[in-house]
Amino acid sequence: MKFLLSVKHPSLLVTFALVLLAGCSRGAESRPQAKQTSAPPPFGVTYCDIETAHLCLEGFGVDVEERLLTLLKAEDPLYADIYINADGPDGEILLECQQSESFPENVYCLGEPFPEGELIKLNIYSKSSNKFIAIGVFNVHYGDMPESDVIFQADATPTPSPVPTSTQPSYPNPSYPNPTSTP
Amino acid sequence: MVIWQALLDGLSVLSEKWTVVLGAVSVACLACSVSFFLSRKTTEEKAIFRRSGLLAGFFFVLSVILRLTFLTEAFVPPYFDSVEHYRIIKEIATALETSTLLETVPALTPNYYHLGFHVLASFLAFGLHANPIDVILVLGQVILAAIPIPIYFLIRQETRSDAAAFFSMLLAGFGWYMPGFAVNWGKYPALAGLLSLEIVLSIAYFIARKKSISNQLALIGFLLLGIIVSTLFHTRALVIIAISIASWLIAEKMQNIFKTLFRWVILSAGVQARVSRTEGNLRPSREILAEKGDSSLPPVAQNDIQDSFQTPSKVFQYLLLGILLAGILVFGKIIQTETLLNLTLEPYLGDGLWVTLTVLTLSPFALIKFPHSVYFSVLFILSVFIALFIPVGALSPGLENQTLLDRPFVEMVLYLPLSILGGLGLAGLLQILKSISTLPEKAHLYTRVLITTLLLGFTGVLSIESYDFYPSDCCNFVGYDDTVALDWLSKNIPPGAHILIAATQMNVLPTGPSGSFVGTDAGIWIPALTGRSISLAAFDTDFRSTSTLEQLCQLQINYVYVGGTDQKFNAAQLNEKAEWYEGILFLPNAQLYRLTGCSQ
Repeated sequence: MKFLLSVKHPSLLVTFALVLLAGCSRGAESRPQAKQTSAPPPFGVTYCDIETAHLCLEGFGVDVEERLLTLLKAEDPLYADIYINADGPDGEILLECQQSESFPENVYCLGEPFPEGELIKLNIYSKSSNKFIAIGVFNVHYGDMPESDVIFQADATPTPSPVPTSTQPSYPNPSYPNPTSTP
Repeated sequence: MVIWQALLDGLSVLSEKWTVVLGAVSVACLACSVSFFLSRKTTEEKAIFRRSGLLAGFFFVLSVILRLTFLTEAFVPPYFDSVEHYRIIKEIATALETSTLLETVPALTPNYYHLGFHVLASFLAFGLHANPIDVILVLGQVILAAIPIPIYFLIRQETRSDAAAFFSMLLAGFGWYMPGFAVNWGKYPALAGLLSLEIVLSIAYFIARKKSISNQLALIGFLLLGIIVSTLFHTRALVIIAISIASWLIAEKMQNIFKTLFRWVILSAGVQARVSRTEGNLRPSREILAEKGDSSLPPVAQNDIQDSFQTPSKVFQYLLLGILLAGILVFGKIIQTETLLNLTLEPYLGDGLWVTLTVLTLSPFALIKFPHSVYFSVLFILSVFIALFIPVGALSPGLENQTLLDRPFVEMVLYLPLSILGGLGLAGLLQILKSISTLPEKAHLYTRVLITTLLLGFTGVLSIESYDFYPSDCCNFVGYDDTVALDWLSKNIPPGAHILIAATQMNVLPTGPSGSFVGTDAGIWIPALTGRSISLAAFDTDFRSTSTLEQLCQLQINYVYVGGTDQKFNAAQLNEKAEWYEGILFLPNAQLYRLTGCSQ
């Protein structure tokens, strides 16, 4: 203590304190967070382009088993552990959600496919408390995906190949581009 | 408005990753404290020193918050280099945990030579129990925020002006989009090298300027240690240190050389005799003045004699300065005309033109008051330009196409002499204004405050208002869809799968593209995040071609990954050949195809 008080350079003390703080936080971070929530009313979920608070929708996708992927982003980790009951034209379906291992705030939910343009109502529940936490209604759009009967057609008859042509210019194409180098 | 949003985003990242931020800030503070203490050692008034420290500290904290904004839109560090940084850091951190560091490091990467940043980041990741991805991202931004700090203390020491030092710091931090933009290239070791070399230059400056410092030996020891550390961070930092020291020494000699040269010219041309006759047998030399003593001549006569000596000497100096500037113009023109080098000057002549012009406008004032530092800056700029063209192939078999400095590094480092020039220019202008004796004292003060405020405001608004604190689209390979696709891929395709990813040839040297391919979309992260192996192919590969199919079959490719960048595989072609490539995952900005055409 006497040593610390006798230190002439306050910045050394600040650095020392910062290192200590950072070190101490290791233990603090590993402790489970026991947050109590008092069942607030379900909030509205919208597209991430519009609003990112708590939980938002990034879009939809499809996988090889023709499952619908509902892509969500949880700004708050409290809303990352979820499942969805979706209301569609054929009734209610369950969408199982999983967090990306490397990026746990990114959540995707798998379930029965929805036709392009169909209205889907997402009722989002917390897995741990089984509480209804959020709601959102969206049109299912798969972006610029080609016709599904084309994309998943594995056994079509091969057709003759055209002559290979380069579709994009590759030179000059500097590595380490400047901000103005890209459109 | 932009800056407020950036501050809010930065604060949100700070609250989320405060542990890693504190760790990185501690490291940066420790590094910058070298400049801080050196400055304290030589600052007479402690109150002024404390004020300077607070000013630099405030700027650093604000910069850290602004720089952290980058993390709001970056899932992983940008560009292809970062994957290698991540791999090395992760392996060193694991080795630290398992106490196998000595066995791991030599096997890590036989050809990779700058491990300094990786070791530093590994220790942070290990010490804080943090994800290496977070550590790279945060440490990179904190280093970026720390880069202007040693410049502040350096200019403060040279000019004794807080305003000039602050102006230099502002220029180094936000004057141009470099060196900040380099994080988009994953140039973390180079940025750490820049910070480190600035500290080395600070130590060298204090050794050169303050010859009476008692602990000179300790400083020289620090200097050598700093040079080694800088080289470990980035080998090219050593080139910059060498250029800086050479430029400083040459700049110092320049004045003396020309005084001697002019004396020689006078003597040989018999000018001395004429001067003696016209000035009443007075030889125009300081030595004669010293011999005779001040009282032997009236003050006016002394000034005349000194002027008659110094003016032509200065003419010679300015002549050489003109030659150096002409050299810069010539090399600048060559750089501008080289296809792959013309981006070098863009940060300073494109968006940052007004800031560069401001610096150039102030440079004459710097030349009047701080000629040594101006010669240094000019020599430095010319030398780094020339270094772009000096081949180093003879040094090592692996460096055939390499030059002493490459385009990205030169582009990154030019902020250094320009920031110095800007700060010295402002200090020079303020000193000249102060010396004008016709104005009353208050008018002096108001004029100086007005000019400082205008310059700081003008530069601050110009640079920070248009500054992009978020990741650039050019290089941010991993988007939201990629994170989901990579996770889906790791859970749904076999561990032994071999995936084709989009790439392009490394293309940064005027000698043309190198043979090595580098990834151009999130596929480059597949091995690091999913453990699956990858092969690289040109992003403009034609998937409709049978020869492409044959090559992929030969390479035993099982899957093709299409990311969300501009340089990705053409998904339309893969869809067109659905009989060869079966779409197995389709997200708006990421797709995965299974190669089925080989069995047909």
